Amino acid sequence: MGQRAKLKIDASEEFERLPRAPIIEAVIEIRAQAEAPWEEGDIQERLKPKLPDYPKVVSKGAFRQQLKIEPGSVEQSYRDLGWKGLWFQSADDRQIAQFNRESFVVSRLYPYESWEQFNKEALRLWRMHVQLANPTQVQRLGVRFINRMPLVKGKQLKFYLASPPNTPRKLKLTLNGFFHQDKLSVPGHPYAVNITRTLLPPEEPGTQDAALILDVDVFSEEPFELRNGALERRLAEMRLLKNRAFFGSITHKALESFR
Amino acid sequence: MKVELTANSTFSFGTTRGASETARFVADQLEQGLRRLLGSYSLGLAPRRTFEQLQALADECRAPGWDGYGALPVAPQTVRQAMHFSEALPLGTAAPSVGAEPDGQVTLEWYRSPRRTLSVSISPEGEIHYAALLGSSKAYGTEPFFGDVPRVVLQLIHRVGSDERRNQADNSER
Amino acid sequence: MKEETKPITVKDDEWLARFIVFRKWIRTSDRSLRPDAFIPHPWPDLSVTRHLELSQKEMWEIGQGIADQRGTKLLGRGDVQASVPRAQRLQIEAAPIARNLNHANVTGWPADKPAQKMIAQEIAARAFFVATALDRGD
Repeated sequence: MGQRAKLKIDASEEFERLPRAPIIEAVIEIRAQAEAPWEEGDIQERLKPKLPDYPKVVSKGAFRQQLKIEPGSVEQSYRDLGWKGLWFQSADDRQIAQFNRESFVVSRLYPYESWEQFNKEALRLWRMHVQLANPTQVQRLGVRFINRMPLVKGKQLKFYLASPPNTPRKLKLTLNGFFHQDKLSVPGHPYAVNITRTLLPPEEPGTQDAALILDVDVFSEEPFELRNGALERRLAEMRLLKNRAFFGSITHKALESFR
Repeated sequence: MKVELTANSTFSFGTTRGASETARFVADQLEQGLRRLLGSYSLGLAPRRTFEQLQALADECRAPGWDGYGALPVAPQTVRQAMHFSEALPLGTAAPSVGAEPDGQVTLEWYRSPRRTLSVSISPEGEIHYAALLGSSKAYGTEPFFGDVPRVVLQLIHRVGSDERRNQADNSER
Repeated sequence: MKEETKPITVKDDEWLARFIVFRKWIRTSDRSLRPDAFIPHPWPDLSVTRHLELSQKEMWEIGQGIADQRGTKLLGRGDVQASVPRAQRLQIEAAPIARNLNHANVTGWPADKPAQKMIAQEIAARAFFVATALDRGD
C-alpha cells in the first residue's frame, strides 16, 4: 500500500463558533511522570492556597480489587496501591483538575465556553503541576471533546450523522442501540483520532429522549520533551483535528440546530 | 475508504480520561464490547492463555531461589502489573509466552527464531524494559507503563510477527 | 582434575554451562533457551560452570547439586562458548568453589536492565540447550 501524503494542519484555521454547541465535556490530559517527590501532605499544602476557585478537593488513591471464583470457593482481595493524586473541583462543579503522580487532567463540563478560555485555564493549572511534579517528558497527550445531542422524536440518525449506522441490506430491522469506534491515524503527524458514536439511553424509560454521543478523542503517544512551546503547539494542532473530526461527522442540518 | 493497518493502528483502545458521567458511560460500553469479543473462542484464547500462564508463574516463583541460583521471588504486585499489561495489548495481538528473571520481574516473550525475538520485563512499579533481536538489528530500552502498551513495544511485537508472515508468503510462492 | 592444575584463564573456545532447573526458561517450540536464563541480576555476575575436562557424569553431578539446593529437578544446561559473552564485552573469571572447582563468573555486566537483557538475548541466540537423560525421556 502506498503512503498517504502528510495531512496539512494549519493551527490558525478558523471554525464556526456554535452558540449552542453540544459539548458536555472537554478534556486535556497530559501523561507525564512526576520526577519530584509526590507526597500527599506536601502537595495538598502547596496546591490548595493557589486554587481558591477550586474549593472542593478529593484525595484519590489507587487500588486493585480482585475476585477469584473457583468451584467451591470465592476469594476477594483488595490491595491499596497508594496515593495517586488530588482532584480539585470548582464551586459550580463545571471545572475539574486532577493532579496525579503520572498525569494531569483538566475537564470542563457543560456549559463549555470557548477553546481560548479552556486552553488558557488548562495551561495555567498545568504550570502549577509542573512546579510541583517537575516532569520533563510527556508520554501521552490527549484532547477529547464529548458531545451529546438529544434525539428529537421523529428524526432519524441520518439527520444528525454524516455516516449513520445501517442495518444489513434487505433486512429491515429496528436499531435499538449501537457503539461504533473508529481509530484513525493522521498521515505525517504523531496523532491519532478516536471517533466514538453511541446512543445514550434515557435515564429512566419514558422520561426523556435518548441522546446521541459523538466523542472525539485526539491523542498522541509519541513522547516529547517539555520545552520550546512543544506542548502549546501540539494542543493547537490537536484542537484543529478535533474540530475537523466533529464538523465532518455531523450533517449540515444538525449543525443548524447548534447555531 | 482506505484502510491502513500499521503498528500504529493495531486497534488499541487507550482513551483520554474524562470526568463526566457520559465519559464513564462510553468507557463502560467500550469495555462491554471488548469483553464480548474476548468471550469468543478465537479472540479470547490468547489473552486467557496468558492469564493462566501468569497465574501458574505466580505459584512456581513464589519462593526465593526458584532458579537454583538465588533468584528473588516474583511478587504478587509484579504479576498484577503483568496482567494489567496483557489486558492492555490490542485485540488480536499474538499471545506472548510468560517467564521470569532472577530479579523477580515477569517476562513476556514474542519469539519467532533465535534472532527474531522480543522480550519485555515488567517490574512491580510498572516499568517496562524491553530488548529485541531483529535479524542484524536490535532495539532495547525502558518505558513507563501508564495503562497503555508503549507504542515502541507494539511496533516491535508487530515487527517480530510480520516477518513471520512475510516468510510464510515467501515460502508459499516457491 | 586437581584444583592446582586447573588453568585460570578461560579460553575463547572453552564451553561454559548454565544449569537449568526452571522449565519456563526452555522454549517449548524449539527447545532453545530464553534470555531470562542468562540475566545476572540481582547478582553482579552470572554463575557458570566450565566444561573443562569434566566428564558428562561429573558435569551432571554438579548440576544436580544446584538442583538439590532448591529441592527440584535438573532439566538440563545451556552451553555456550566463552567467546560469545566476550563478544558482548563481558569478562569470564575462573572462580572455583568447594562444591564446584570448575565454577566461573561472567562479569562486567552493565547496570542498565535493558542493556543486560540485550546481552542476554545475544548469548541465548548462540546457546545450545542440552537436556538431562531424564528430561529427554531416555
